[in-house]
Amino acid sequence: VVDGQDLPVTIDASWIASERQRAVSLLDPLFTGVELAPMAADPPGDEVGALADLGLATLDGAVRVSVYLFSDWERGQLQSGLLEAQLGSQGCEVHTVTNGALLFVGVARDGTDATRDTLANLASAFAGWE
Amino acid sequence: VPQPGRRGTTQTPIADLVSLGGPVSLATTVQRLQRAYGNQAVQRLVAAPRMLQRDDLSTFVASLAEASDMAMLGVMLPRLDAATRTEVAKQLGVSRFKDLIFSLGEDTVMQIGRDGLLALSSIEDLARLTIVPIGKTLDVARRWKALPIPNFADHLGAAVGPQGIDFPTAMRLCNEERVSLKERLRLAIQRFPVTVDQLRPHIDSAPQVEREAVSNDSALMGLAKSNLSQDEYLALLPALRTYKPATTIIKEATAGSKWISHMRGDEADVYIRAQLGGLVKDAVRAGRKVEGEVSVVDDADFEVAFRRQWTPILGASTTATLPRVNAFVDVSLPKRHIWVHKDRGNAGTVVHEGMHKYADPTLRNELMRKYPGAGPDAGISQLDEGITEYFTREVTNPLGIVRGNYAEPFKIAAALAGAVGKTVLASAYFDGQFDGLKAVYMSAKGKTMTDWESFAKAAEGKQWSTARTYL
Repeated sequence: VVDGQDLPVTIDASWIASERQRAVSLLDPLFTGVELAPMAADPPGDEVGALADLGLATLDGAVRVSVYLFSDWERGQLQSGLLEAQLGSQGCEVHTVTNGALLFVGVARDGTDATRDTLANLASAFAGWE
Repeated sequence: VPQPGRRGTTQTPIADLVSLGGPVSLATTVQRLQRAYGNQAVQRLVAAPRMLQRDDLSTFVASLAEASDMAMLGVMLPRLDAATRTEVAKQLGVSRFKDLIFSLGEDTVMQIGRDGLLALSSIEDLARLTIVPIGKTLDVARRWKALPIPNFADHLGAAVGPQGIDFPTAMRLCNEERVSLKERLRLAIQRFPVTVDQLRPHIDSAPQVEREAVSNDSALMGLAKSNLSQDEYLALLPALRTYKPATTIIKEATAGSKWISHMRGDEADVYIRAQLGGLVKDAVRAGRKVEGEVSVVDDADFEVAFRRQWTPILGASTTATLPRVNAFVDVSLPKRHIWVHKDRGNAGTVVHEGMHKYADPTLRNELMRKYPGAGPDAGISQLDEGITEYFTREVTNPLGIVRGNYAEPFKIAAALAGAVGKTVLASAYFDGQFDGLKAVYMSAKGKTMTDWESFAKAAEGKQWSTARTYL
């Protein structure tokens, strides 16, 4: 259901798979220098209208990353603002960035410079090289 | 020998004859027919006893006209036997048969032969015959009022080899026949060893809708990829202003939304010039622009372009780097095209890459020479990217495009802009006044050239906290 309308859609599973793989590549420790472990996306993708999600966290748990795949660019941008406001209101440092239909939401759970740098580093890497 | 023009006077023979006045006797009619059709045809008919017995004037005149036509065809095409001439005349029509002989000449018609002539029912049948020079086919088509010739480019293509047609001639004929850009390029790429520079006048003069028809034709683009060299293929994409929209699943839901795909090059020019105004006036005067310089392409084309530009610099890490790249400029090549992946980045990506096009190379070249980077950062100047992103956001923020790219380089560039002023930073970046920026940095902040070098070194080494201490 989109904007109150039932719309017939065809979801291309191969596109979702390739976008998911791209998200993993963007956060490759080879380039970020940050090891990440899998965990559940927070909030889950179905709560934000995403087609797919991916959850990761630094090994010490200080930075948590949720990646969402949306049906188009604009939905990602819209959710970016909403999630930044929602998570920011909980006192977390939040960094969001979109790359195509992918949305990165990074949350730093402590206020140290090192954690902030790690978060900025991951967000910058996710934004992609231009 | 009757001349073709004389037939034209007898389109309505009986009316013509009656209009001459007086009682119409067979004798006077024959005399007049002799003047109209020529003596030979009339003599032949009059000599035939059964014709003299005819009292139906219209039948007589029709027979006379036919006899005259056949006599003329016999004169025009004496080496073709009379029976075949008659058969072909019935099949094709006398008038079109005569047109054919006038345009092609006797030798070519004889080369077509009986079976070929009897198989002719349309201009396209003639165009298929590679023994007929394509220019003469066009002449026949004009006489038959059969222009445009269906599938002309295909027939021209088939004639290229057998008739030794060169590229300029083929393109001239395409111009005459108003062949579409798509068919013209298919012909050129299929039949000639062409370069994009040879094709460019045709591409540039075509409307955008025709260029899009080419770039959206996967079969034609596949042909171009296989027949052209890699460099020529990659030159064709920007020449066509290739623009692939982003993959989107729910098109209906996003109808009317603005930032659901990349900006086009001409759009980026409009926004850059509107937002930056005087800061880019010299760059604009120097002819720098995004339009015609950017290609928004799919995965396969992006990879080909990326490997060409970056494999010499990134070496073994090229493959691992590829998925991380949204867009790039051919910075090592003579023509610095912009390549954008259709599904990567955001609506500000073309502006960011376009900013590189508006930039004077002085600042980047100096920084790259001193700090070439290594590993995944090879070929990237952090300070240059930061300043590029700084001016990108000057354009994209007012448009509501949210960007998080180059977060730390952007912050350093913004701090540098705060230290020296936006105008000085712009002069360094867009106009190459890099030494001027350093001078202002030193005088405004009471710093030395050593401080500047330390700042630049820290920024290029991604030592952001250290870099900030010099601002």
